[in-house]
Amino acid sequence: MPLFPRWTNTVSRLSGVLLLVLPAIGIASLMIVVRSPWGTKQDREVIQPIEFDHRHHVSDEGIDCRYCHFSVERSPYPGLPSTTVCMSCHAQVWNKSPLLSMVREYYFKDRPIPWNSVHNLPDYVYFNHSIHVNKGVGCVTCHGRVDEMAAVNQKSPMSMGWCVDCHRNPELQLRPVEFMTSMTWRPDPGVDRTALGNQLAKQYNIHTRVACDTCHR
Amino acid sequence: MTPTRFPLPVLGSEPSAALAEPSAPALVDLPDEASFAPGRVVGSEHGYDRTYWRSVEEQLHGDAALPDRDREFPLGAFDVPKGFARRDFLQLMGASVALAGLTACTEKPVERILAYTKTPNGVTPGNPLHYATAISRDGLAIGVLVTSWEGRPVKVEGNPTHPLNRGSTGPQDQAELATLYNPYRARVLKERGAGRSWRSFRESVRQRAAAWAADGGARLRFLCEPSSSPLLGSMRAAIQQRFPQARFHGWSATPRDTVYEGTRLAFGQTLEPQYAVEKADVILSLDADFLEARTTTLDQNQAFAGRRVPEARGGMNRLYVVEPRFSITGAMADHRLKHRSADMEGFVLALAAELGKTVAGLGGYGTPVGTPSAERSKFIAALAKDLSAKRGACLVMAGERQSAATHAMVHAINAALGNVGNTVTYTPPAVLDTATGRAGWQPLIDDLRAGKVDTLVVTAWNPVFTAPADIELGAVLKKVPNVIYLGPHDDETGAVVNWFLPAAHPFETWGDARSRDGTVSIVQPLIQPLFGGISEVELLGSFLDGEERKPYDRLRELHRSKATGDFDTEWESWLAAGVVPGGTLAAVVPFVQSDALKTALARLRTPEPGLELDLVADYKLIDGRYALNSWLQELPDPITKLTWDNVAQIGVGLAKQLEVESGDLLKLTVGNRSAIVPAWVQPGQLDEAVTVSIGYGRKQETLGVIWADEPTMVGHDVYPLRSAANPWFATGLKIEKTGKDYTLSYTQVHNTQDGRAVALMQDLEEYRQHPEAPEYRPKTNPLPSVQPLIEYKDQQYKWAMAVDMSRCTGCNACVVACQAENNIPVVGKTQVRKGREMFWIRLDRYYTGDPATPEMVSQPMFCQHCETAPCEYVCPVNATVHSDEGLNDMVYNRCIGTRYCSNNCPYKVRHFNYLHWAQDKSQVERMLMNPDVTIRARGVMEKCTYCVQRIERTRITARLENRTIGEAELKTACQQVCPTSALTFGSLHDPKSQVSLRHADGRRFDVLHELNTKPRTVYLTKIKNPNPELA
Repeated sequence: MPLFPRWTNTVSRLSGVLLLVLPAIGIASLMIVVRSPWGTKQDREVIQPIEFDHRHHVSDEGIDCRYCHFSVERSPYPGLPSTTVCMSCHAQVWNKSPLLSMVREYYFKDRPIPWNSVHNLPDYVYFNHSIHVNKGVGCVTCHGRVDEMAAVNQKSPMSMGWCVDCHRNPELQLRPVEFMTSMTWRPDPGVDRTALGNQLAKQYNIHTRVACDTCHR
Repeated sequence: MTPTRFPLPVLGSEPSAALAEPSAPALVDLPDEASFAPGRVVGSEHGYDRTYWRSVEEQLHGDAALPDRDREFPLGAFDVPKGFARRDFLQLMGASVALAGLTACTEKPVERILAYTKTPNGVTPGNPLHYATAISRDGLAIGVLVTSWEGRPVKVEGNPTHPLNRGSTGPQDQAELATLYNPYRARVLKERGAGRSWRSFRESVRQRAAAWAADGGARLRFLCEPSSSPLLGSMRAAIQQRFPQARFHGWSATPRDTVYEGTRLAFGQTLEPQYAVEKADVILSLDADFLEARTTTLDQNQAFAGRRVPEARGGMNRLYVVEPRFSITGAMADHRLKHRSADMEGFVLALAAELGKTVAGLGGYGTPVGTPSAERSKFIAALAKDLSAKRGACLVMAGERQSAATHAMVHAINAALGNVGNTVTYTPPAVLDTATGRAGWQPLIDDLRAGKVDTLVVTAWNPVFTAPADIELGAVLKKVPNVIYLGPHDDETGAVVNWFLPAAHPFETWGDARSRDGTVSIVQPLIQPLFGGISEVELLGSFLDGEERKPYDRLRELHRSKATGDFDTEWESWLAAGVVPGGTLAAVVPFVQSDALKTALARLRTPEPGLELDLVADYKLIDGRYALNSWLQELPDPITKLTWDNVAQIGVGLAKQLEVESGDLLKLTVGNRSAIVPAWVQPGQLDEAVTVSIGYGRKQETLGVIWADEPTMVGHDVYPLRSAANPWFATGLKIEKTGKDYTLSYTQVHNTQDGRAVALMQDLEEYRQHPEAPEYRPKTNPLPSVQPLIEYKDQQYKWAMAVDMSRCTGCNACVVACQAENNIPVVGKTQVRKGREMFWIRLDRYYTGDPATPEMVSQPMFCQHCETAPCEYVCPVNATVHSDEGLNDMVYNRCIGTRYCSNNCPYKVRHFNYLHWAQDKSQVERMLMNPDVTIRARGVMEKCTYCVQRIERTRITARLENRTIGEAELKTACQQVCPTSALTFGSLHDPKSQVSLRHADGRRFDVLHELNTKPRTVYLTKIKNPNPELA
């Protein structure tokens, strides 16, 4: 007589399989979720205190990124425009519009506008904008078509893997520095993107590092 | 939608208890210190005759004493906090495991970006600016550059263009920002405890001014902090002009009076000696602790160190020190004589007599009193011969604790030896008051007692606390109708005054200052007064006629006459450089008034024999003004390695005679006053003297501070033992044992070193003939390894450091600089006892020789950035890895806190955040943090990073300009502040860089070479230059 009833064989085999499979599925799904847009906060709507529309200011008016994000070539932070920069136009243009009443209120109360950060890297990551934009990484490469965004959202995953991929092969993402802020630049027809990238890497003396202390200190 | 919180300093009304240990669990009953001291007496190291040992317990008790010989962590380090039952512990652990999985699922809260309303001129968000200003101590200034992040000062550096300190700073200068951002600073202007406005204060002064106008201010007095500020000088003159009978007196707990009285006695004029230590081949220091990195002597540090290496131009210098205690300067001495302070006059007369045999002009200064010991005679004979042989290139210095007569004789000796004009020059003093000791304030005390004063304005720091007990200043002040006190805290003096004005910090005010050589610097503020503080200039301004004027306007008006061209342009250049040209004082050539000097010396009394009490300014708190600065309180004392305490240092012989051990509470009595102080057996301390630091023992209630779990006082108040007649030493000391114990927290016996060659020291001749260092070097003594050899050839930089122990004085400036730069937390006295201090630099201090007369070597120890680092291959999560340029990277976000890396580190330079030191910081304390460096949470390991944040910033700046990093533009925090240039950092790929030269030096060795860790930080043997006749 068998000690155990036959159906326990199935239980035994099934539980063995599940013991291997379930944790694997569990871990894999967690890993996938973290890398998914939900985990990386890609394409997520961020509500701002004042509805600033980049489509109007960049596409329609043709204002260069650096007019407002003024420190991007010199500093780790690109800089947000001071309220004075907004008022430099809006003291004259649409200076009575209700859509801009908050801007005027903050300006005259001398209080900073509490923008919500969209591209928010963790505090243990030290990213420096100036070295990237001066070595041929365009704004659109990481931030996407900001000129087509009603409200800015994060287009790239901004995960460490995404950063390291470019650090390992920068030639795939480079452009001449003159086109840093161009949203529509393409290499000339017939020019291979990678070949151009390699040439620019040599020209700009690019040596990307992947040592941990490059970003983590 | 106005935001409700700002990162700007909108301050709450009560300071948090963040100064205390944050969330430290209830105290564990710790066993007594015997279990902390290591038991091993270190025997001879390879080929060396020296025996290095760490503490007297080791030396005296040897193996017998202590059961925990090989214990790495002290008892109590792993104890579960009391009050935490096992069941609760398990429940909590269970809950946290369950919750740990969920924390990753919660969203990070939305962060805000608050841009400027109007970007200030010159500010680029994300890039710091540096502003030149000056820090004064004892009235004399150094130039500093303060790093400011968007209007928030975060780090103090020395100003390289300032002629006095040339880029170096001392520990107190580095800790000034912790004082600036101290949440316990006074905030409220009070009259008799009730809050008042600045306007009401000015009104009260204006009302009294009418009465003063009648009698010319005969009832108005000022008691001032030492200062050399031309602006304050001009305001004093203006007040004096308005009220001709008013008087200004100086007050300092660390007066430099005897320096000036000495020159008056010797030369008939009040002068400031300026020492050119770099020109001296032989230096004699009579209790002159010039190698302490005090603001006033930073230039002498660099000058001394430049001649302290065997390859120095002009040869290596030789230092003789005569002192009662074991000081930093004594530790650097080639020959040291223990001598009572009271007998110093006798010593200097004996020296003059001995010198007079070969040097003209030193005869007839009087016979030395008493019977000199054989040891002293031998010392003086050899010393005199050495000085006489180096006429014009030697230097005799006397310390500020010594009497005017000693100083005067020292000047006479220097003059006779031909040193005047060479190693010592004299200038008029830069300070406004040359009398800040008794000569300065005694007339005031007499006037106060006689009731001649109705208004006393006090700007000196806390005179009631620092006053000698016999003048009973508190009681005297209580009788004065109107006392006004400007101070950073409503302290002991604030308790007895009518008007208390919260003082603004020097980093919050406009002003000016002069350094010892006369160089004028403009003091510019780094930040608006955080707590509505008032500056001394504003206070004095309220005593002048007319409208209130801003200090900035007064300052500009005063200096306008100095401009040769367009004032505004020159003003900007003075602010940018930190130096106003034309202030340097011209040298005076004085002549010794021998007759007057001899008459004065004839009046000297024989000192009484017996036990002497020596009061000294503390190495960290100075006179107590930094008692609330937690950085300085936790900084280990350079010699005793004590934290958060002061002790009575007694000699080894006296301890044995009295049967006293370290930690025994003693009652010290001088005359009819006594104080209770714990004993500390100090090697090298004279048996006939007991040394205690002043400045400790403030009561918590006075300061409104709560140090959680700490006793009500930090340290022990010995100001009661101070007498007006002599603030520094007194004979007739009586010691009684109270029979009680006191637990001390010190860092010296943590981390036992076995009998290894860790810190090498050699005599010059021995080094020339048989250098020991090559045995501990990879090239001369390569060792096999299973790890593959990495050449590090392809990268652009190969970072390395070199520490020259010949130059290192052990001043601790590097430790505080590292703390300021890297946001290193303070852990408190209890945690220091458990070995959890967080300083990334550990200044090891090794004694060698006889405990009564030891020699000492200081070794700063921090992460060696080993090429084959033992910490890297044991990390289970790869949180510590090696960068391509040679740095051992510590990645905080990967660290899970197994502490295996620290376990494996042979140098024990890794520090673990056992508790969450960074939480519960008030808004003000957060402003102290350097934004370029991560603030570590609980459970991560940290260590020296070779200031990787500076490397990365400089690299980006250089790469944007398409060039390599220059040697001068990248300095680690410790290297930048070191007053003696003992620390060097740079790239080994540059063969001409300082660090490459030091790596190739004959004195270079690797610590623990036999472990084959291939450290990038190398050390250079300390070389001593003893006199063969005294060896």
